[in-house]
Amino acid sequence: MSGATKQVILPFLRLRATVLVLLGGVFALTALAAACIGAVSVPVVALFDGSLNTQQEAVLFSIRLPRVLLASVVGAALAVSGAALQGLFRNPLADPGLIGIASGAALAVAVMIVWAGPLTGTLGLYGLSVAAFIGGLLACLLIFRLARQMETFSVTYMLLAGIAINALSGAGTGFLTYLSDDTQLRALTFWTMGSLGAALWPTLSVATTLVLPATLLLIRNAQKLNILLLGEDEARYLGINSEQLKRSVTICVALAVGAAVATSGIIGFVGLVVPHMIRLTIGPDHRLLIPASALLGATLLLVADTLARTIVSPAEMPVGILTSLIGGPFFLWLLVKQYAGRFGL
Amino acid sequence: MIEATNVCYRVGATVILDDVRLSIIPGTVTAILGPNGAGKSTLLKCLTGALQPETGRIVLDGTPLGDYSLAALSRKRAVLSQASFVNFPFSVLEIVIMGRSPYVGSQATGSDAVVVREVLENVDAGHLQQRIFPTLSGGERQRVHLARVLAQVWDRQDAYLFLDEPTTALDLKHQHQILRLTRRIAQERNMAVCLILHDLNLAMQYADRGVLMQDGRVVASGAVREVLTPRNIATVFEVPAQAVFGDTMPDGTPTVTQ
Repeated sequence: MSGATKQVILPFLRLRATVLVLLGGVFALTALAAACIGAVSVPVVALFDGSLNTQQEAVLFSIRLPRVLLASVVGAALAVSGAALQGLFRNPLADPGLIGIASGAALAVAVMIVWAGPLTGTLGLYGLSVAAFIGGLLACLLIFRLARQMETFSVTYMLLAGIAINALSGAGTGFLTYLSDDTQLRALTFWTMGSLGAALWPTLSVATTLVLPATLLLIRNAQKLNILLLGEDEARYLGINSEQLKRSVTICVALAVGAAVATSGIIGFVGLVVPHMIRLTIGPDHRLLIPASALLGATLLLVADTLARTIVSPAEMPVGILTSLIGGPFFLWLLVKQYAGRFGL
Repeated sequence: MIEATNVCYRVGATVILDDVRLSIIPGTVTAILGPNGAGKSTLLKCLTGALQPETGRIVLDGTPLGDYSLAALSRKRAVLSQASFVNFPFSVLEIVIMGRSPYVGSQATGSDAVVVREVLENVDAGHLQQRIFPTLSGGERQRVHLARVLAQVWDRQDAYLFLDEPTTALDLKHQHQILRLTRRIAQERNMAVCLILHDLNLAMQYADRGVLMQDGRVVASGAVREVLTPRNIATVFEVPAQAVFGDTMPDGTPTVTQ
């Protein structure tokens, strides 16, 4: 094998295996810890030797496990969406929350709640997810339209467009809040702050059946996303149908974000912070970035959610507040350190 | 061979290309020349299939350009665009390997590695391999992009290479090195090279054929020395006719001076 192969291909495969095994291990340990920590604590040993008492068993299987798994799925969905969006917009500051996709999805969910009443059960959850998907998709398409009109889509412009979309969706959600009765109000507050408190097995299965295929499809398109970073024309010259790729990635992102928003509301900054951490430490190649973001996103949201339900125990704080608390300063740091004077900011 | 006939392109009411006719011949270097806004880049985009001309026919090796799939085209021609920015911290090697994607999908093979090494050396960027692309200087980036574009057709015969102002960011040494390279591969691999140049002296030295454009029309085309006559240059570039041609170079190539 010649030089470049030795220098690039083999190390890449080895790196990918190492990183994914490492992140997978960390995730598994975090999930184990998260399953044990809480108001009713479950000793780790008891998990394995079967000495759980009835209360522990009930808490573990009907409350904690679905929540731990939902946190993982939502975290993965948000991180993967962030990574894919950043590739799609060729812009490292894209995030489903910042550019308005999540708030578009949340507005659609709010419309569903106020118009159709509280939807429950698996079908209701799918209904909300589909609404969220459509809301997110519309926000995506709006941003694309703006992008096309501007020829080059600078960071500044994208973030400003995001502010506008967020403001519009916020106004819509606010108006609906004003119209809603007590039950609806409680449900709406839940979406806007972001919480995994509603996790039950049906919630988890709805989220998983939407997020998993979307993530797999994004991983399949990873190399094409790499090439799209050269530019749309360049990708076409290299034989890639950029329009089709953009469409397929947008739909996957809207699906994943829609499922995340429908089951847990708006949880900000996971999509921004996670891909950045991977890029800074491992590199920008989507073939590694997307699966690694999924694992790290799952781990981080799991940690955040475990904190959210334990630090003010027996009450719990919405996890969205916590992720924004960590993500906000990180975003500011990125603006100042990484991108000052570059990328047209 | 690429043959374009009656190619017209409009944006709204503005005519960008008006009844353009030209051929790109394998084994030669064709320079598209003309003042800013003459329609050179648009013509190049039509010839590469990036833009659909409004009317007219573009035939590539006997088949209409529109009948090729994107994948088939990507193995037949490579294109260097004027400006292409990459915001993400890919290494130079990763960028150049992307040029091989029409052949291998996602995994690079041993022969790809040979191609990548050769193209990088040929554009004098072998030493940049491990550098992070966005940290390179403008000229270095242009050379790396060129290496990527070359990698796409490096091991092909009879391929087409389109370069939109490949020398803008380059220093004198690299300008000559790159143009010498295009001339060499045109001859060695029977490649048809089509490039947009602003430096008439470089065109005179390295191009076989010239296509002189003004306001969307082809004013003159043919052997570059017959196209770049003092009179043509004077009319198209609006510079005084008498002062256009200066001394000849040692090899007899005329030079253009003001």
